[in-house]
Amino acid sequence: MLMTNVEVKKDGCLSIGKTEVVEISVDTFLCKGCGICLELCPRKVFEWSKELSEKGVHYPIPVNADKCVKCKLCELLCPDFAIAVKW
Amino acid sequence: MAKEIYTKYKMAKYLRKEALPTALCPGCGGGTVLNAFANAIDQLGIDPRDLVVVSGIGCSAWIASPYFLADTLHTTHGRAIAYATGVKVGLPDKKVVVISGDGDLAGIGGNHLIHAARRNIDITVILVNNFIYGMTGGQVAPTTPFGAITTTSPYRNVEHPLNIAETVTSAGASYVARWTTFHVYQLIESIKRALSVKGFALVEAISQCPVQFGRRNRMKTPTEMLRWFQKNSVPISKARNMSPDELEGKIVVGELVNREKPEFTEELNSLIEEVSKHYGLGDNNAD
Amino acid sequence: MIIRGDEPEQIRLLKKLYPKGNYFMQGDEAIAYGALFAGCRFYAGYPITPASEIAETMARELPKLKGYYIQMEDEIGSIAAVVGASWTGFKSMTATSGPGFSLMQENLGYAIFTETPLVLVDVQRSGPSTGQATKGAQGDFFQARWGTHGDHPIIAISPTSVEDSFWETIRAFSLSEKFRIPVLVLADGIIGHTREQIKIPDPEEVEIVYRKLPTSDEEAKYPFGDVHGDLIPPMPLFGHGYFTHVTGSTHKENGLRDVYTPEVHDRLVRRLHKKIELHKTEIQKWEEYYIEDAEILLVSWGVSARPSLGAVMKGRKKGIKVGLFVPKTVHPFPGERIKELSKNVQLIIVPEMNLGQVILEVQRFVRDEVPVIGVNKIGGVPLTVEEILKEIESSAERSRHRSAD
Repeated sequence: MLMTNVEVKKDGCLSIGKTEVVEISVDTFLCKGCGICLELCPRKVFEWSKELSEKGVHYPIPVNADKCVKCKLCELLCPDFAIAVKW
Repeated sequence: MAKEIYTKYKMAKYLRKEALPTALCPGCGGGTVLNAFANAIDQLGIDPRDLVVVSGIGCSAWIASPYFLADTLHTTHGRAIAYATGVKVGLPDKKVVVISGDGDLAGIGGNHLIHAARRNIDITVILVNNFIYGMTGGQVAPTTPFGAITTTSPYRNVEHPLNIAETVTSAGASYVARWTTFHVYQLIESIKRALSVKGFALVEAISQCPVQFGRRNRMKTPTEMLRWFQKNSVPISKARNMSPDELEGKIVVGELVNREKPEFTEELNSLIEEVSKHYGLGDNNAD
Repeated sequence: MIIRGDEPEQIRLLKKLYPKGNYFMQGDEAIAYGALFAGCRFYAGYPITPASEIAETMARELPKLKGYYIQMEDEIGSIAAVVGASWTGFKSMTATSGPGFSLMQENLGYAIFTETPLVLVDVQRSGPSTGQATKGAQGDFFQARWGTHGDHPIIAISPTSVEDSFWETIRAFSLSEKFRIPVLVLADGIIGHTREQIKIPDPEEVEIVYRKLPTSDEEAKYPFGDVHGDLIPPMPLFGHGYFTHVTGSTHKENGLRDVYTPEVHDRLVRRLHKKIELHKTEIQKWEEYYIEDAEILLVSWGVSARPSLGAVMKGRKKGIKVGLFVPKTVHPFPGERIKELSKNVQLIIVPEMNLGQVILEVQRFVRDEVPVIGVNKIGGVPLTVEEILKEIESSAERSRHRSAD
């Protein structure tokens, strides 16, 4: 089984998890740290950040972006339009 | 408020950026409804310039107003549908959408809801039902479940909630559906269908209010409420064979009705044609 | 769809349907025809005595002029639909009486705060509450000014006869459209249900006023801003791609809500008041009869103005120096003019069909300069020439005795 590399970075206000297949980004200016994406993702792609965002909340980091199946539930459920799943 | 937002989410183009981030609580289902609405508009290829969005008072009235980028009319408590009636008659070729809450549209505004459905006027109503009057701090609403705790039912609610979707169906609507914010894909599809139907269309979107409702009823995180929706939803096909006792506390989801009926603005405009003909008011000046 | 009322097709229809000439009709009907000639093509209403005939006339005639009549489930829905339709470009109207007027207050306030042009006719009836439904009165004067909550301006006008109802309704639309504010027509159940002769004019004799529209996309960004220096913002209608935002919350010039900055609220509310204050001479209108050497001044409005004029004419025949002031625009009240006139008179008499409302406005302006007394009749029967004349005569008598001392 291939181990896909996940590039995790924080680019300004964007928390990004990127693989060869998919790029998941979270706008931490919009994100309020509600946790819906984190807890409802069927593949447990996100984990809480250790530090606080510009807003003062913990935000989701797409650490396991390699597990993403592009169901887009995170994108659609996010009340703040913060998440984009691109491929 | 926002000088710049960074999200790469394509649907953000439908939002009034200067009003972001939204004033909605973290995890509010209202944001999810806005997300679903934007997706529905996008998938149907509707130009926001052909939309007028009307709302009332309450958290759910904030979903589209001011956040959705279109002509928006933010009106008085309970009366959004009445204002929308005037807008639709004045602009019959535009899509008029009402996005407001349960207390607003079905409580104080119940009368207007019923009569708009009766008239079968071509407006789409997305009624966001969070079982509570959220904006004012969490008072009991006509949709609060029996036994629930709220600030004005601090012991337990002794009233039974109104079945909005069923009531509007009886009143004469062309399309009625109910989904929860957990069922995002189905919610988007129903909103699309509601926007496409000619006639009165209602989508009742059960939505989580973790801060006012969930917190007082043992479900203080948004996810707990979403899981509660998931567990307690019953598809209408199954609900038809269940007894009222079995359905107690359950959320019946699905499309309740989808039928073709004469529509109000069409009837009004036909009438003008008829009257014109009857009185010989046509364009030829020969009397 | 914008219908101003002076489109060639509309002129043709009006001439064909209501040719110029003499007609015999009720005040209610005259109000409806006035609205039609002013270009009103949307009416949302609810039946109420004694205003139902306005709705009935509109329901019958609007479709002939390609206009819309809809009957809503209550008065609150009616005024709401009128506001909604106004934002799509229609000149819109509703009519009601006391109980319905009470219901409409919240949405009327919404219309004032969002500067929505509309005409609201209150065919006043004897109150309070259900009162004497079929009897006219003049008890809603202050409700018209302050019925809705908060600091707000309003324009209210009151016709004095059936033919006057026709023209004053047209003036109501002109004021409403020009100043982007709801205008109230304080009619009453007596004139409303009395039939008189009225001359219907040529539609081209009627001046049509339409609200100011934005002349550019830049102007359209400020639907609540003083873009032209006359305190009247342009109105970017719905359906033209302006993405206009209208809210009843305190808002900035671009329409977006801001309840946190005190200056925003202060600026908005003061501009709304100044908008009316600045244009007061255009908004106010009154009539003066036998004023020049008057020693007694009558101030009378609406249905009470005619018996007052009759009494003044009879008084003059008897040698009493009495004159009459009739405010046609009752809000903003022409108190300054009355104060001016009061300098030359010894007494002001205010006949009205209520327990004394306009008299309070007169007293507010005149203060202690001149005694002010009321002739107040309630119970549904209008004031008569004799009743008012009696008061004029006894006042004149009293004044003769005083000067004889």
